[in-house]
Amino acid sequence: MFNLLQDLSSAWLNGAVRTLEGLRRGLTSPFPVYEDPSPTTPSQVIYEGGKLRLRYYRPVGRPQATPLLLVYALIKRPFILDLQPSNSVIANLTRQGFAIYLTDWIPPTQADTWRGFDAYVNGDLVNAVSTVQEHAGVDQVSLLGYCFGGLLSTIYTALYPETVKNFIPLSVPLDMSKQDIPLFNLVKQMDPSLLTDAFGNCPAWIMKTGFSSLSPVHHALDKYVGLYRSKEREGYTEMFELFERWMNSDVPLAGQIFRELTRDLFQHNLLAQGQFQVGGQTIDLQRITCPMLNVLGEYDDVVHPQASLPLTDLISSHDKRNLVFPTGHIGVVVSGGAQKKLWPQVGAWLKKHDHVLH
Amino acid sequence: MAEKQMTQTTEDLTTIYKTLFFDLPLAGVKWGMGIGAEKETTETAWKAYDASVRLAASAIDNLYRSPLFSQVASRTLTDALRWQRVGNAVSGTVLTGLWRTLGVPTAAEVQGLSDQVRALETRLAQKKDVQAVLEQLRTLQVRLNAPSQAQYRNGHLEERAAA
Repeated sequence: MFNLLQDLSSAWLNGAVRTLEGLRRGLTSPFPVYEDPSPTTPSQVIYEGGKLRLRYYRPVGRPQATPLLLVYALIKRPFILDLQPSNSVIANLTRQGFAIYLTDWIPPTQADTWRGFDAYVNGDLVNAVSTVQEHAGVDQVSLLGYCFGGLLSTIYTALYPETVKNFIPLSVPLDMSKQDIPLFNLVKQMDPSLLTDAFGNCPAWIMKTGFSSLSPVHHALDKYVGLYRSKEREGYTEMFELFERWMNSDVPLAGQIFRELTRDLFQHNLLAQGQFQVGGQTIDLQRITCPMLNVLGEYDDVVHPQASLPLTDLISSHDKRNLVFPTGHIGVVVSGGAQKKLWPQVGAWLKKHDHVLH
Repeated sequence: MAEKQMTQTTEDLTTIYKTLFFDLPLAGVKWGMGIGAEKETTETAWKAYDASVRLAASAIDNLYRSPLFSQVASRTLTDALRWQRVGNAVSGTVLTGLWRTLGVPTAAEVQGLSDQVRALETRLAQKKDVQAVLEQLRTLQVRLNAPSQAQYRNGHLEERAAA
């Protein structure tokens, strides 16, 4: 009993320190990205411009024909995709022969409050795809977008379908009329302009508070109890530390994109209704004709699976399917099960579609 | 959905009640008397803990779902943000005037400069190789320039001497 209390209090104090460090980083402008843990897979920055740093990961063994561009979310840092050698989506895919390109977004500063979907999609993502085309010597790339990155890549694919060979949205928050997450009631009633008028961008500490409020019991107590109960499991403590570091790596969200996301997508559900406009163009999801594998976590408590599923019906691809994996929002990228079963399946699907002409 | 949630809540309440009042005391007594193992007692206790956590999480979810809570929370947030804006405006006006009078740069100006320095630092750190090449080029340029300047000086002196 004494050991339990001692271990718990020590883990809780470490957690409190990490939370405070996360808040400190969130209050620093610009966000200190150099505090990311050392990467597991070596990469090379092949492009930097706008708010994008494009990383290239060399394939292992015989390379696949089509390179894969991973579009990461604008929320938190992307090192969750490359946490440990045995727990890295990037390492998993490079081992399967894919040349990986990752959008490592540069956190916005007070000079970037104007940045909306137009700047991120028609600016940065267009530049990313052009760079990949040139670097890999291809006309088309495969796109994989995670969470908010899934939204960005869905919009990109609808705007520039000719450049996308295969499309894999991963836990994409698309149809907000079906977002059955309790805290979402609060987002529905919020005026995003008030927040951006006060702070310019949506500060990192507000993003962090929002995510922690999704499951307060877990963040305040249960994860530490979980650490105590699993401390004998090999590698669990190291994994916990790295994961917690990622949980506290929130970055600010540019003012304009925060307003568009909250008002147009979350509150009015314009993207699913075919009325969302980016750079003066209406996003018509019917323009997506390439093969699509819609991957979602069955127990996702950040993006409800019901919010991701409708994408399959809204696009006009003939080759499209949903892949529901029994895990949560983050489990799709870090769980042992996902590394052993989900990512080999994703790789196999991509390989199958690699040589098919569309 | 609501029915499933209700069933889960009832199950959790039953588990907590049963574990705390029957299973845990029984396992404790058995352990004390040397009949049962410590592991059995611990597992029983964790069962009650897991049910309590599920119950607490479900209660918080229900709170978030209630229209009254979301109304109160959004109103509080709106008021807080309005006051934040007023605070920003007041401190911006009063303090900027004060700093100007004292001849001290404002926090925004210092932050702006600091942002620029940091951005340059990051860019330089990433372009270390380029920087090294540039430094080598600069060294070469100095070496190349040095004799030419000497030649120029000598030539100039020769011209003056001739004059």
